[in-house]
Amino acid sequence: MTGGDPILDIRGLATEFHTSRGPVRAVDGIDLSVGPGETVALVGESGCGKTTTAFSVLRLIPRHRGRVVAGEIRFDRLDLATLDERSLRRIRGNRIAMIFQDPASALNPLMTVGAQIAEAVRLHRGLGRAAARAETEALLRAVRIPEPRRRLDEFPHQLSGGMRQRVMIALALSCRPRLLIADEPTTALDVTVQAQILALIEELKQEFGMSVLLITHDLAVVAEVADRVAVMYAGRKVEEAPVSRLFAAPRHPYTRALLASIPDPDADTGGGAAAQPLPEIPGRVQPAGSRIEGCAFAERCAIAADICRQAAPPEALSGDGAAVFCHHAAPEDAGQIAAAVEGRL
Amino acid sequence: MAEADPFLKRFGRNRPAAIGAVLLLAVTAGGLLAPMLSAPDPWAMVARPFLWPGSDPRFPLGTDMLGRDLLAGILHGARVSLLVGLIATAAAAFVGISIGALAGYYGGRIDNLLMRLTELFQIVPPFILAVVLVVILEPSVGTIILAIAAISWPQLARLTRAEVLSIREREYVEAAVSVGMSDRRIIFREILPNAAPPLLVSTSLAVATSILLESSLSFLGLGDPNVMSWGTMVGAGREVLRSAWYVCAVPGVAILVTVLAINLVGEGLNDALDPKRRRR
Repeated sequence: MTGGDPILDIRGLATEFHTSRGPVRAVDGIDLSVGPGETVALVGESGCGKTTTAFSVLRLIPRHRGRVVAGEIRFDRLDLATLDERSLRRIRGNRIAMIFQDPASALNPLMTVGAQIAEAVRLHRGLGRAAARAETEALLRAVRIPEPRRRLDEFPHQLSGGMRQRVMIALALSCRPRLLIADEPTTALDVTVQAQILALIEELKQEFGMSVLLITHDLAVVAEVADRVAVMYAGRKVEEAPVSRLFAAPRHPYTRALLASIPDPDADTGGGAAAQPLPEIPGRVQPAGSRIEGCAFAERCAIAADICRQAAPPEALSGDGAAVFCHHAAPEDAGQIAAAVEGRL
Repeated sequence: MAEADPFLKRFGRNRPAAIGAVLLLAVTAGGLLAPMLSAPDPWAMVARPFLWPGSDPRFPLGTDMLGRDLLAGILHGARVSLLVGLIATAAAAFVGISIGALAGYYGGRIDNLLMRLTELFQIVPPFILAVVLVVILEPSVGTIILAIAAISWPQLARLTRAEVLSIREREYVEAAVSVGMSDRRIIFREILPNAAPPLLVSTSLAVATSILLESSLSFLGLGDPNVMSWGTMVGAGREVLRSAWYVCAVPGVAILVTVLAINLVGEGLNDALDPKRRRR
């Protein structure tokens, strides 16, 4: 764990989308903090609100689509949830940068990659044309793009997926942000390129002294790069723990079920017949917007009792910043009990 | 410049578009060189009236009922038609694209206000509106351009708004917001360039429509009385339609050829800029 005050501190964040059937709450009271030099992973299945959380931090949700309705987003003694647009624009790209899921669609198809990065450099650092070009070349080199000078004048469609994501990262780094928000940065890439991009982000984090908020649904990615993990389910945080702890002794039934559904490459080497089917979580996530009285996961939980459907579970804190929201959370140190419950899942 | 080459190639490979471009260049050249190719004054009575085309080599297109050289009228008329078409369209495009972009980008109340304003122009039949404007403002080249621009912009505004609405949701626009770009920069650098193909095509077709409108106004006697225009010529010739139909037909063909040429070029642009064809 890295010490010091958190760089980003989200308290009670709630974000709603406007729909024809009224407001739908996509994020419902999230607490999350990212310390200096720390990589925090936000995981959960599609539609659980993790991307919405990330977008809320920079208020990237268009006004006609939705808005942050409650909570604070503390960054640098400012509250990004209520900050005026002009001041927010100085933070975007400058102090907090973001990389997106699909680098193919996150770059302007009509501008060369050099022009796009140079534009951001000039915008935030006030450099001249030539200096911006030199800086852009240095950035492309920093993200390990071979022949950076030649790439400057190429268009996004001339680059491979991995290269485009490197360009996106260069764009994000252009102003040496303190926090990098990475929204599923490797989902659109193939596996070998994924590993390279993750390694790159990790190296650059050290080099540039950034913190990283990583949004992903890929637990393998989490295990590789994160220091701390927050698990989201249906717009709420269900568990948060240091990464080793979460993988060794998950306390929330949802986390346990998620971990149980990771294929174990060593388990079925013995031949096809003996292979066990992967366990899956029964049921589906409640449609967004349905009012949930108790625990959001109760309907799909193997150990749910009446109380789970009636009352929202309290936060059970433990040392080193871990927390779990469950009426029947497994005890902290109980690998064995967890395993026993797993049998029932 | 790297992009221009394949674009021109695609455009050139399209036979009708290439023909349209050549015709349009010919009309433009004729207009520019009018004083050199024919009499400097198209109103001057230079020969006997009702000289049929081809009967006198000095007046290849003949003369009208007042003995005015039709070739001179056509060439000078080309200047007016092209000038009115281009300036009116440029003005309409400027207003329409600005209003459409603002409405589409900001949405909400601004969108509502601007779109209701646009509809205000669209609820009156456009040609009637143009006639009324020209009559009130006194016919002149300036007021005709104003009237044509006033009835042409709403369509471009609606198209621009629709394009901006869809492009605004693209990820690269989100990415631009996330690096702290201002609204103005996002509209001009990210959104409008990506909306350009359909706008360019529409705008080029609007030039043809503007030329037709100018001719129609002139035909109705609402043209600039000091300027020779194709519509004026057709209008003047209609009284002798039965005895000397060529007086109407010659300027009529000029209108037809020019409008057709612009349409062919517009269609060619449409094909050349279509991303589905571009991918090949």
